[in-house]
Amino acid sequence: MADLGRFSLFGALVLALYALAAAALGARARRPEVVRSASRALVAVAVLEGVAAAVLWTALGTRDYSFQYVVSHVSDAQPLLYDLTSFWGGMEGSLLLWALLLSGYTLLALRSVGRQRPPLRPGLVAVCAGVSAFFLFMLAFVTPPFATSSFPPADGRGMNPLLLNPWMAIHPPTLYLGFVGLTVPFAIVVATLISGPSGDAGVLLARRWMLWAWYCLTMGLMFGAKWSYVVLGWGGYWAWDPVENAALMPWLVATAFLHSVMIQERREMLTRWNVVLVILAFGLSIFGTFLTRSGVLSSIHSFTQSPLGAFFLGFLALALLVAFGLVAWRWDELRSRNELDATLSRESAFLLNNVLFLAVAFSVFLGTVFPIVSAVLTGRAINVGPPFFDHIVVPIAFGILVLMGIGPLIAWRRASAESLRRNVQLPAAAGIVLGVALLAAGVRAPGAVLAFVLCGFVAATVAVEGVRGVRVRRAHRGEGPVRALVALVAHNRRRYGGYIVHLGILLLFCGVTGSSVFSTQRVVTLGPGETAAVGEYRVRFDGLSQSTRGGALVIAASLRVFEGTRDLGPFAARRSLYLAGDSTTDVALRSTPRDDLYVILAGWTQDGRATLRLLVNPLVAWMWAGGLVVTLGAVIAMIPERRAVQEGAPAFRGAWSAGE
Amino acid sequence: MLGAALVVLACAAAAFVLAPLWRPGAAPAWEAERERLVHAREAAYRALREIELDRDTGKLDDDDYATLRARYQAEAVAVLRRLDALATTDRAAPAGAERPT
Repeated sequence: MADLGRFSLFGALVLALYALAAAALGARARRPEVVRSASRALVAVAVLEGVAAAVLWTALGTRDYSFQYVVSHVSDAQPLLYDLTSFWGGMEGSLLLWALLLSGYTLLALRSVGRQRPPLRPGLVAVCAGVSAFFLFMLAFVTPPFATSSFPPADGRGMNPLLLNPWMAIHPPTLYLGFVGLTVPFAIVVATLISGPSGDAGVLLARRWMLWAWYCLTMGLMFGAKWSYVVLGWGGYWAWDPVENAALMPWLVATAFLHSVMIQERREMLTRWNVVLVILAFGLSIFGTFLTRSGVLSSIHSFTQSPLGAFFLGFLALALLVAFGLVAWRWDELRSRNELDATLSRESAFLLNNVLFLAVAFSVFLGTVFPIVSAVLTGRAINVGPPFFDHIVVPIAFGILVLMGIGPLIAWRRASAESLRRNVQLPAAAGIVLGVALLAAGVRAPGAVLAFVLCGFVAATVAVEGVRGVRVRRAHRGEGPVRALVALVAHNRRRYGGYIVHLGILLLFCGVTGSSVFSTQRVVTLGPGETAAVGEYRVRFDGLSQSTRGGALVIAASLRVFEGTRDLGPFAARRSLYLAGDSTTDVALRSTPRDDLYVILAGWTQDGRATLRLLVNPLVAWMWAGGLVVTLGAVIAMIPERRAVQEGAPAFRGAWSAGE
Repeated sequence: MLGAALVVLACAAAAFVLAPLWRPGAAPAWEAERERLVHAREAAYRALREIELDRDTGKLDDDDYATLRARYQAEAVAVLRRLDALATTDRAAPAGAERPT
């Protein structure tokens, strides 16, 4: 079976290289049949990668310990679900997942983009084939997933116990859907640069693909944060870990792009800027994979030290060289057709927004690579740590919040200071009222009050936008309020989908603020029957018990929680000890919209006493709710809007007739 | 057995990939100018819708609205004229003539 896997990967590599060469030659010789053959080669690549994936999954599912990968990631005691998800638990499997997802995306892109704009097909095939060929080369020669041993062991080592969690089962593939998804916008833009000027440089075609990749990255980051929160047992969800940063950087650049592409769409401006953002987002996705897989930086995610780094950096350099070389070649053709009508306009707000997002991305990049740079320059790796990121990112995030609030209140193209002053009054008043209420309630942390005031301001902006839109629609159409609201969103999906995403980000921001500023914790050692108070809660320790589960010795502290006189019931904090020396924490977690009570079993004594770390993290549930709201907004924004005016329709019938 | 299966798999892949080479055909027609004009038309329509919405929701003053509306209407009309001209050219072209791509 391993031979079939190896053959599939090798065959896929040969076909990817053929597709690359045939697409280039076919385009140059104007031989469409050669380009079609190249496209078919990518279909065959996808099939062969599917065969390779099936071989690996079969080996994992049947616990075939003749495969070294299976030995490293599977054990008899491990649940079957995690045997299967260990496909992406190791370097070789995750690279195969990369290649497989890329092939899926490639086929979808060839089907949709290739039909919408046929001249892009050769370039699209060539770029996707080139990226596929790189990953297949790695799989075939550098990190082969089908290495076997002649004397297989009776049992495997299993995955790192920290990865045996449902959130970790879905976090990597979601993140990879985002990372790999950034290849398609890159391929579209590079294909357009190769094929010649088209006005939009392919950027507008790339927008929806970028939105999908952005959404997957968002959810991947959220799932990772949730995993960190419930599994790692340190009480937090984000630690500015290099690999977390690796996923955040392309997300920031993609976010900037999703705003600036609207300017290009409306004003045929910023084409060069948007092309650069697409290339940067792709480059950062490769850089992120390099950070994740090379082990060059110490991280909770770096499960491996591997020789991949040089290959990834070489490929990244080549991709950026080619892409930016093409940009330089087409520089004059990418110039803007228009200029800003007025300094005070939605376009200007979006430009400033782009500057802030890129400033955050650059700061995160700098902080992330600083250990590498310092090691090269001084021989000593210096980690900058969370304070560096917090000091730089938090003020910029406030600036972004301000723009989130002001942007929707400014008209596209031209706005007057008077209209802005008039429109900003109500949301600003809402923010100020919220601030006064928080101060009256005894909240004294200035940063938190400012954050909540800004969140209130932005939320009020979205509400005002919705109310005004409904009012206008009712005035024009005489619809009821609910129907008008539904129609307003349905007929302006991108605008209102975007506002809903903003609301989700606000919830996220509130959750981060609440949990980072107002978190309280204490460490206590209790005997059975003793109680400790934390925040509004009292936690009673009822005793220790032990059991075995999945090859681990599980120590459980039975607890009972009270809020005032109210008994909130039992719950338990556990610690699992594995024979290999690993240990994992099962946090006792009681989550409400107000706060999370989070209890960790830190230690225990022979006489049955337990050392517990008790935390109350306010508003954490708002973060996860924010993820759901972002999903709703992104789905609405991704549904295609019907063409503004169908062929043959009257040219212009007013704001509320077109687009329906 | 496995060797024979691999040979069959390789032959099938090669046949599938190389088959188009025996069936040369023309490149699919794509009218770059038409697509550009359709995009420009939709951008002008969108601009007109947005300035009306911005005026109705109090973001755009009446004077600015009038100026911008005149500009985007003129742009939309110009684009529509060019699209009409393109359609007329298409109709006038002899059957089987290759369209500009």
